[in-house]
Parts: sequence; C-alpha cells; structure tokens
Amino acid sequence: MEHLLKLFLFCFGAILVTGCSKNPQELDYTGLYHSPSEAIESRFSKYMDWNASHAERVVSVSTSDYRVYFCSDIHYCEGRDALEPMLALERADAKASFIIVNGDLTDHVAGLDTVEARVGRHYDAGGDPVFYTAGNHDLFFGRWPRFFALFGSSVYVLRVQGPDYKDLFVFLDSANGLLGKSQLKWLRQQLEKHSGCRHITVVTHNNLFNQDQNQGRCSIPPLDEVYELVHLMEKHGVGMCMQSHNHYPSLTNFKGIRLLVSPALQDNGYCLVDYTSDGIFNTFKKIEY
Amino acid sequence: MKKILIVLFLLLAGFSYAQKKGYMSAGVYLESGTRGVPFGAMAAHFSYNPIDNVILSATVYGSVQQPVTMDETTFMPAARLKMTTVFPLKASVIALEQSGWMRNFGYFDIREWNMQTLVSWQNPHWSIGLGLHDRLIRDLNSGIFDPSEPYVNEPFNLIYRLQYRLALEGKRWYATFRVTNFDYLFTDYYYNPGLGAGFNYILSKGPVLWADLYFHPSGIFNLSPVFYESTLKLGATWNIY
Repeated sequence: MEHLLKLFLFCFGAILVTGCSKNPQELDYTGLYHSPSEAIESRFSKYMDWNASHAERVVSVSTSDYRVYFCSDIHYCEGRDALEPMLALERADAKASFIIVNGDLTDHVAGLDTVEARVGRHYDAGGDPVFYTAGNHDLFFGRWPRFFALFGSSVYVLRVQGPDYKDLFVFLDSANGLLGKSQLKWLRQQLEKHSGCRHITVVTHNNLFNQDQNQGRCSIPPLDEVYELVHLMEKHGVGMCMQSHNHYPSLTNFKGIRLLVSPALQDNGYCLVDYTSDGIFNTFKKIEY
Repeated sequence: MKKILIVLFLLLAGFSYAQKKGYMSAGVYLESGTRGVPFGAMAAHFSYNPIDNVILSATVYGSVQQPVTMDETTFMPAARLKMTTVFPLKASVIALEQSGWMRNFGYFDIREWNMQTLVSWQNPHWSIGLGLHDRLIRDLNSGIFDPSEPYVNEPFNLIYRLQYRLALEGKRWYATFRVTNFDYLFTDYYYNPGLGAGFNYILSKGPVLWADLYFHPSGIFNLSPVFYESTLKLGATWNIY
C-alpha cells in the first residue's frame, strides 16, 4: 500500500508541475505556484489604453432584425480548420451583420497569425466585421502578447445602431478565470452609461456555471464573482450572456438572462443569434462538409 | 430538493434518538483570507455522537463581504449539517461523510443549496477520500422549494482529499497536511488542488486549539484560475460530555 501511495504521489506531482500544452516547447514547469501569464488587472489596464487610442466599435444596421454568427474554441492547428467554411457561410447569409469569435483561437502561438490571415481573406471577399475576445488558450503559454498585438482589446463595448434602436454588446476578458475588480467596476459603468438599449449582451469566454463535466472545473470564475456578475446583468436588463470554453452547447434561463454556451468550432459547431424586436433567439448549427 | 429533506430528516432523527447517549462538542473559529472573506468570517459548530460510529454536526457561519460593484458592505450567512458514519476495518476505517449546506447571498438575490458525499479510507496517518458534490443555485425571489422556478444545477462535481496526519506519541499536538480541491466547510469551483495544513493543540481538560491554513495556488495545468487564494482559520473546540 505504501509503495502504491508513493507512486501515486510521484505521478500526481509530475502532472502538477507541467503545463498541458501539446507543444513541448511551451511546457511550463513552474506551473504549480506561478503562472507566467499576465494577470487580469495588468491586461485590463492595457486594454483601456488600447481603447483610448482607437475609435469606438459601431455596427450600423438598416433593418429591425439582424443576425450574429457566434463561434469560439477554434483551436486552430494544421489539419483542423472550420473557420474558413463558417466565414463563407456568413458571407452568403443576407441576414448576417457581424461575427463574434469568443476566444481559444488556436493551440499554438503561430496559429494566431494564421487565424488573422484567414479573417483578412474574409475581409478581402467583402465579409462582415469580426469581433474577438481572449480565451485561456490565447493567454497561457505566453500567447497573449501576440493575441493582443493582432486583435487588440478584449474588453470593450460594441454598439449596434439600428433605424430606431440601439443594441449593446459588452466584451469581457475571463481568459484566466477571473474578471477582477477593475473589469467588474468598468462593466457596471458601461451598463449604467448605456442604459435604454433595446438588447444588451455580455460576451465572455469562460462559462459561468459548471453544468456539465466536459472541461472539468478548469478556469471558471470563482463563485462570488459569478454571482456578482449575474446580479449586475440582471439589474441592468442584460438579455443574453454569450459564453464558451466547455465546448458543450447549452442554453439556461436564469434571473431573466439567457445564458448561452456555444459549441466549439473545433468540432464544426457554431451558433446563430437573431436579434429582433420580439427578443433574442439562438440556433445551434454544425458545418456539414 | 428531496435529497435535502431526506438528509434533514435523518439528522433530526439522529438528534432525537441520541438523548441518552454519546458526547457533544462545540466550537468557534475565525477566518480571514485574501479572497472571498477579506473582511473575516466567523463560525460556530456543534458535534454530537449519538450512537457508536455516527457523528452529527451542525455549523452556522457568517462572513462580511464587500462586493466590487456595490457601495455597501454586506453579510453572507450560511448553515451546514453533516453526518459522518465510520465503518471499522482491521487497522483502518472507512468513513462516509454526508453533508448539506445553504449559503444565502441575499445582496445578489441568490441562494445556494449544496449536497456532498465523501468516502474516505483512513488509517492513523493517511486519509484518502473521493466524493461528489452537487450544487443548486436559485433566484432568491423564487419559492424555496418550487422546482418550476428557474435554477442552475451543477451536478456530480468530483471532490478529493489526500491527507497526512503527523502525531507523535505522548505529545499534546498533532498536525495535518492535505491536498484537496475543497475547503474546510464549503466547496467552490476549484478542480485543481489546494494545499492545506492544520495544527491542533490539546489543552489539559480544556479546549482543543487549532489553526488551519489553506492555499489555492495558481497556474496548475496552465488552465486553472490565475489568482492566489489563501485562508487562515483560528479556532477552539470544547468537549461537552
């Protein structure tokens, strides 16, 4: 029994001190006590600087209804690329207005450039705008500086200007499982500032609740933060919270908020979200080859 | 909700049966930490051993909170009931811990119900436990037992605990060291292990003084929440025979 216990302790310890990257060059042997990734307060500060030096993001829509293509967890790597087919579907959809990519773009840092190039070709073909926020795979193993350089801020508001309405999308960075004090305060300010919108949507990578075991309990915000976020969204009439991370599509109605978790584009899944004068409606889709 | 009622019934039945037999102990502890309880928390607990190999315990808990987006300080009360059944083996025991607790986040209009079962093998030094935890998160404005109201259920979360107990013969103190993903009283979202250490000192014919430090490190698997959390608890337990 003692030998078995020692073996168990050795194996357990060996797992703890390594990262889970598939790329051996990215293994992080300091992972037990220290993460080399930039913490949320530091990233938030850089996001605010970025926002101050760039124009506000606005999409103009000429109809009362519009459609958003919502995808995440591309986990781009060679031999796995569902992004381009989805972008082509979006371009062919007359109702579509823009695309949300909710993090986890790739499994290695060079993949970020490939995703950016794919989206560049989408723009060249006349495609609609694409909006991003970071996921845990865009942050860890030293990937965030490149993500930030290519895609900019992950904490920002997107205003949709319709003929007789305004909709609001608030993007948050939960890539390391913690929103942090500054980001929560900023969210409250934005929700107060933009009151009176027809629909408000919060977009963040990590799923807020642990309703299935697909990803275990990795990287989910702590409970006090989740409850505070849910309360804040309820108080300010947020209609939908778009989440991802666990690769398992689901929709839960709680406290008047539609908690939507997207499927992973890695598994060819994505989501259509229709914003209408009657409400917000979503459909889970799968790319068929 | 049926599960909660069944556990409540069993615990109450145990208390009723145990009027003439067993021992009692009571205690308090103070808690402070870097997250969750930055302003401190206090708990009082009561244990009762009504029949051989069964221990019932109840804990009431309160912590002062300062939500980030609120201007006022708030208070979070909680209550927990636990039944531990011990099955003796040759030189060790199997312990079955069944507990249920409620946390009331009134300032967020949220009430949380939890059920937890832990089975552990224990010898004088080692304890290895595995279990499941189930959480039900409800809107405080909905009825307490109304299943038709919207709620969030988090079923079958895996919990584990590996603990070593260091006790020297003839000494009044003993220490414990553990690797676990759940804290002393409540279970949060952590999948990755936290590290805990406890120190107990037995005063002669008086209380047992204890301290417990729990540390949740960052960065494990590079996918875990990247924040550090640590809590310190200082407590005393009195035996009431």
